[in-house]
Amino acid sequence: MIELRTILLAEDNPKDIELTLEAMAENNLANQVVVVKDGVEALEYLRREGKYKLRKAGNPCVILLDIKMPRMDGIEALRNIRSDDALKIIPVVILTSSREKKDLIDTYELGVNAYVIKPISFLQFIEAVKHTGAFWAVINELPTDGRS
Amino acid sequence: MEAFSYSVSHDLSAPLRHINGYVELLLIRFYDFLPDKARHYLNNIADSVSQMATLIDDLLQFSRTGLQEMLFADLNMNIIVQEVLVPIKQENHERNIEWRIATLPHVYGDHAMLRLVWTNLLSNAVKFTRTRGKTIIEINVIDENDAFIFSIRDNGVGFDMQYAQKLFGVFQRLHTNDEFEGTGIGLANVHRIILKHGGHIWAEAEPDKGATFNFSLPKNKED
Repeated sequence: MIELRTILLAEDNPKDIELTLEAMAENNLANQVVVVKDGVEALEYLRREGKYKLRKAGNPCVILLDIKMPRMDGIEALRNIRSDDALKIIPVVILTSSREKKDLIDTYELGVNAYVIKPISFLQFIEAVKHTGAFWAVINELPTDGRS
Repeated sequence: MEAFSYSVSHDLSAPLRHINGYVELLLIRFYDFLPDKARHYLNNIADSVSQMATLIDDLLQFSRTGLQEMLFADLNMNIIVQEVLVPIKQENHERNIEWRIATLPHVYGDHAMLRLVWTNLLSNAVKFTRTRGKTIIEINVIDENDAFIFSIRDNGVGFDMQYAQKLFGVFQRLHTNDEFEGTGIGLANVHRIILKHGGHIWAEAEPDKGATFNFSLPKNKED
């Protein structure tokens, strides 16, 4: 059996976290989802520091990154991820309610892999999560996978 | 204003998204357990949420129109109208609508903004003819010396000309939401865009006898 790959969800709002997990459940996306509350914690997880010191080595198959978060926002987190040799190849998908051009441009310039705007309609959000999850957590091949 | 619209898009739409999320989750997961009244309440909440979402979107659009720099180019109005009509026709495929569209000229303007103008005016024409058995919407153009005057005429419910001044104000509505849904921002936005192009917009109507919206766009003097 193929081991399901881990998804890292960086999101500070508990309702957004719950709704995102529910949307994944609606799609029967069974991957393990690790939730971190801001950019700082995301980097701690990725670098296995702080409370993640003891976690098993390995990168998530995708990072779902909110933009507006306390301490370190998504754009700053993305900048850190892309300038860290051990992390820079991890696919990052921005999952945000921001339609601002500036956010789009900034994140693409930093090498984001995709940018998904959360629709107001939950049914549409379920659809968006379905496609995002299916592609990045199931279909997409990673250089580090070694599963073929 | 930048900061304001940013804050609106982030901070107002998030709680709305949450309300909608939980309402839809309730409906998806517990529909069979809910009494009719409860379903009715949830549907009403969902309605209000989507109304507010539209309002936020429209307001954002409106504040962007004010800020946006114009990207002037030579535009074929026939193509823009046809593009805009695709989704409108799709959404109203069950309606009996006769489109009478004249051949339109090229104009000098901002593509995205003029698209928005046509989208608004044509959607309005479709909306306010909803109560008609057969809808006729005509698009015409008059070539004046220094400007083109475009008109969109429908055979819909029209309005009383004494309110014509109010049509283009923000949040101004001539119908209740029960009759015709809307946020009262669409025409204000259209007005703003036409002014930015150096043109004018005006409307003629009679209650129950349809409405005609006209807008002028100055010709490119370099031609």
